[in-house]
Order: sequence, then C-alpha cells, then structure tokens
Amino acid sequence: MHSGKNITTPPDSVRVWRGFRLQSLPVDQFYSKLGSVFIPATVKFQIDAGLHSYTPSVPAGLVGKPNWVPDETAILFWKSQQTYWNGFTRLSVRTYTLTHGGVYITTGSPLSRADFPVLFSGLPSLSVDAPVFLFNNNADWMNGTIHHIVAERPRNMDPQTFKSNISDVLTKIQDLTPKLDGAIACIGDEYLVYWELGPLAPGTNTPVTGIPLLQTVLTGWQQVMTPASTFLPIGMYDEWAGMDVHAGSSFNIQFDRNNSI
Amino acid sequence: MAKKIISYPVAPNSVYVWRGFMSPPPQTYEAFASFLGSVFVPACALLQPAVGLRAYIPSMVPQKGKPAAVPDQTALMFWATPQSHDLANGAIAVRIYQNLHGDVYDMQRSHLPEIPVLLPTSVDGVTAEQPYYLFEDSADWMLGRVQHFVGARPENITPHAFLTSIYNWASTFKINTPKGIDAAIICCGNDYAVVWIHANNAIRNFSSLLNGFSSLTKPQLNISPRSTSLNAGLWNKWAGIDLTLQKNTSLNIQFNRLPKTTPVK
Repeated sequence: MHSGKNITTPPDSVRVWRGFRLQSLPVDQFYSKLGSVFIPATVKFQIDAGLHSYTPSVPAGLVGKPNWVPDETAILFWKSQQTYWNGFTRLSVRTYTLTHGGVYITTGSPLSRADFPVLFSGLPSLSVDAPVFLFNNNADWMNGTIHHIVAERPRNMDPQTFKSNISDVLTKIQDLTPKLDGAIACIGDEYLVYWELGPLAPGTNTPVTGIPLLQTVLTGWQQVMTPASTFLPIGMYDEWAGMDVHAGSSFNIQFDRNNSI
Repeated sequence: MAKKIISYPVAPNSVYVWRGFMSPPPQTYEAFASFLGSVFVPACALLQPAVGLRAYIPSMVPQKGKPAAVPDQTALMFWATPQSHDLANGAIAVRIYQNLHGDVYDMQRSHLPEIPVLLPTSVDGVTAEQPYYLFEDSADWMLGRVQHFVGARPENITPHAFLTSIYNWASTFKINTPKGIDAAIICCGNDYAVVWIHANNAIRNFSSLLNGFSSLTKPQLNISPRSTSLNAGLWNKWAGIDLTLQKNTSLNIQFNRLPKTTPVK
C-alpha cells in the first residue's frame, strides 16, 4: 500500500549523508549528475524498499564554502534500520548504491559517508562522524517544515572546543519549548550539519528553531537552507532530463510511500 | 497453452559490442564477477527492456591462461533501432545503469568502438577494434541459437597478419554461409578476436562452424550462450546470478519485450 500521509518513523532510522564531490568532477557536472540521476533515483529506486523520506541539500558551489564542508548533505528516513539493511537484498538498492563511486570521494579524506544516529545525551555521546538525534520520538520528516544548517568549524576554534560548544547548544535545543518534532546533528572534524523538524511557535507563524542558538557558536562559513517540498512527476521509464540543481538547492522530496514493506 | 513469444528482429547495426577489461588490482576477478552477477548483468536486463533493449548476451571469459590483452567479459546488447540506445538515456532507469560502468571496468581499455559496420569488401578497409557485421538482414538474437568464440592472437603472428587472417575467414564465411546462419558479428583487436553467429533454428554441428576461426587463434572460449530467465524483479529479494558457475559463463537472457522503443514522452 502506498501513501504520502501520516507515516512516522523512529528517530534512529535515518541515514545521515555527508557527500564530498570528486575534485575531478566539475561542479556543474556534479549538479547535473545530482539532478538527472542521483536525487530522482534515490527515490525511484528505493520507495519499494522502504524509503520513508528524503531531504537532500547541495552546499557545493556556494560562495566561500570551504572544501572541508560537505558538497551534498541528505537525510534518508527508512521504516526502520533493519528495513535499510534489508534493502541490499534487492537489485534496485544495490544498483543505486553502486553508482556513487564516480561522483563522490569514497576513499581517503574528506570521506563521503552515511551513518545512523544515536540518541544525544550530552558531550560523551557526541563524536566525530557519529550523528545524533535529539528527540526520542517518531516523526514524519516528509511532511512539515525542515530547517538545515551546514557550517564549518570556526578556524579559531580547536576541534575539542568546537565539539564541546556544539554539545552545549544541542542540550539547549533539547530544552526548547515547545519541543521540536525532531532534530539531527552530526559533527565532522571540520564541520557541523544539523536538521530540525519544527512546529510553529504557539500564536505565531514562526517555527520553533534551534538554529540561532547554533549560530552563536558557528562564527565561520555557514548556510541555512529550508528544503522545498518537491514532487517528481515522472516514472522510471519516462523521458525526463532531470531536476534543476544548483548551489544551495534543498529539497524535501514528496512521494507515495510503500507502507507494506 | 504455451504463451507465444513475439519475435523482435533488429538491424545488424543496432547492437553494442562490448569487450570489457576489469579494473586493475586491488580488484580481484572474484569481486569483478560478483559485481557483474549481483548488480550489473541483472540491472542491464531488468532496467532497459522497457525502453528498447531487445537482446542481451553477456559472457565471462575464463581466466585460466587468459592473456591480459584478451577481454575479461564480452556482451552483445541489441536495441530496437540504432537510435534506441541513445534515446533510452532520457529515462532515469537507464541513466542509473550507465552510471554503474566506471567502477569495475578499466574504462580506458574498455572504451572501444562498439557499434558494428558492414564488413568491407577489401581487407584494406578493415580496422582493428572496429566490430563488423557480415549480413545485412535483421535478426532476433534473443531467440534461436547463438555461438560465441573468443580467441587470443597467437604470439608468432603480428597484429596486422592476425587482422588479415580474421578478415579472410569472415569474407569466406560470408560467401559460403552455412545453411541456417542469418547473422554474424566479428571484432578483431590487436591481441584478440571475438565472433558471434546466430541461427533461427537448430543446426547440426553448430559449434563446429567456428572451427576455422578457432584455428587462427589461441582459443579462450567457445560456447553457446544458455537461454535463461532471471525470475526476479528489481525489488525482489534476490542475490543475483553467480557468474563464477560454469553454467553461467555465457547467457542469452530472456526477458519480456515491449513494442515501444523509446522512453515515454
């Protein structure tokens, strides 16, 4: 059964992707690959393997973006972690997964990678390349407003201080009222990526957000993005050139989910 | 009542003749075969028929004693029309498949002319690495019988002499065509030669029809691709095909073909 509405998933069932473009691939070709192949294929090839939401963003090419900040980020929610792992028993998922080598840095540094998060519970739970989720409740990340920030570690802040400062802010975000519906963060040695799914503050049109709190620490290069709800009105065998992807593109892809997986 | 299989003959220049060389170490042959069997070969057969693929005949070349200059894998990919392959790229299903190539193949060595032209009337017009077709009629390679041969250039023959001898064999085969043969494709590189012949119906001593070709080479593979259906879809739980098994050395993959030849506009 396929559905687009009211399907929540556990907060640890998300793959948190930080992709670094192969330097041999010019940025315009990177956009083209993302728009014509990777972003639509992520959905088309994985809906029937249990993908529940997909939110890709493209910092590549933004003015001043350092090379040590990811060129593409994404959160991919699955029905469960096991659903994700089961996907590799299916040809569609194997095929999709094995296309990445010609686009992303998959060996060496900075390394493109995706990981499942663990519950954030203060500084000891925060490690480099180990994503965390801040709220231990199910949510539907395909519906609702997401804010996303990508930022470098400030050059005058050593990695340990950066981690400690980010940990302090994440704790404050956990204490916001009303609570966010969900939040995910990941630090690298050189960057932070953070997503939040928020309700509107009572009596306002303003969403609850922790991003201003993070920005008190993030004093270097950064970009805030609001993923746009985007439909892909095509099938796998339709004539279609792809999506327009450019510096700063950010999508919350809308699709009918297969709830029978 | 058995389902009638519709024949889809295609023109002899509507095929891609693949000679693939695997990436150098640290990739192993086992990893190469595993990738092809679990992803690449089934993906080719499942993702492309809806946009014009008409036949697919992949073969693994045995590694024992194989000179490095002989391809590790060969394949014929027939398309509905000569334009279908390029038009298929308009569909995301095909674009994702085409993005698979780079990792396991040495694309510099594998990036060779793939579209055949009619065999020239003189050896002077023949070029190494250019595939040729011998007969101008259309044929349906998914049905009927195929024989495929891969040979290495003997060390005591120059590449030019090798090319000439293969051309002469092809010219003679074209003139004295064995009864029942309706299509043939050859390609001679500097260090190897490959040939496929096709017959609509069973022919006695079919495999021996390539004995003359074989005698010009150091034989690496002489096989009749086994017709096989995948019995799985893109989203089924399925590990793929074990291409290290001898029975899967060469396959003529059977799939459902559709009248349409291009992505849906």
